[in-house]
Amino acid sequence: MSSKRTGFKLPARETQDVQGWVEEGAAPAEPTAAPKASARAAGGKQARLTIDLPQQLHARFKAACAINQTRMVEEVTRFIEDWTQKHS
Amino acid sequence: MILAVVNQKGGAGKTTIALNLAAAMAAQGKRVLLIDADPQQTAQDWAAIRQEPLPFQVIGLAKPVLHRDLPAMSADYDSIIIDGAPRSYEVARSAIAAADIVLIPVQPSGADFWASRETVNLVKESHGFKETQKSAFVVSRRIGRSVLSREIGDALAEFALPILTASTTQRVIYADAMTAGRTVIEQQPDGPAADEVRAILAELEEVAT
Repeated sequence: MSSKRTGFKLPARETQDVQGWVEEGAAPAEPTAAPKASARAAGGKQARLTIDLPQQLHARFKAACAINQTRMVEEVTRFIEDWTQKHS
Repeated sequence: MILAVVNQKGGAGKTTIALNLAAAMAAQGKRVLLIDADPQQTAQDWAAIRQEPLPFQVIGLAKPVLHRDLPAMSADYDSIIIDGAPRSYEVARSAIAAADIVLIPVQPSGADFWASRETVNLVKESHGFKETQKSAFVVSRRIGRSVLSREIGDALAEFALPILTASTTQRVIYADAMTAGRTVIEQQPDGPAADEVRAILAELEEVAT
């Protein structure tokens, strides 16, 4: 009798967990909105920089940025800021 | 079998792939139910403009009850395919939680690649609840021999989910068939698009086992 009840309880608990995840699972922050806003806020007027890279390097950079949940433009901007500070 | 075709990004090819896979399964004589979980209701619009009888049933259910209700319905069908909702996390999680197999279409473009991370996170979280759950990427709207088409596979490999070798290619027939309320399987059964869809289905069957 009691073992039957446990048998019913276990799947019910599992369903509850899934239910909780479906209802409340933490949604990741909007990936583009925040960085865009901060980039705009940082510099006022924007200027465009275009560079040619080897395909492989470009792909690796892009993939690495995605894996780290960042954007290429953020990382390049960070690099330029750091480098400029060091060399000026 | 419950198959969820999901990607948090709109325009990734979810509805095209879901409808055509459903048609390919129906052509094998299977009883197929297509659940339209997208509030845009594209699959339902497709069913509505169709002149001929539907080769499979289409139901709209853009609510986070899929994981609760579909298992009971699956007894009546050989396959249930969920055409997932973009953006709505609750419905997407419900669709993923309901699925035996999760298929993630990704176009060979930066925007799709970036957005796929969120979907992958959901799928990996779901695998924690359902250890037997399978998942795979399928490259959608591949553009010939473009560099992006070649690179997307390498880029996706970083997510450590299987990537189907079969893919869909950018072809007018997909849009033509959709607009006519048909599928590429019916429009041109021996054409290259129908072959693509059947190849995806064959690989999914391998993934499922």
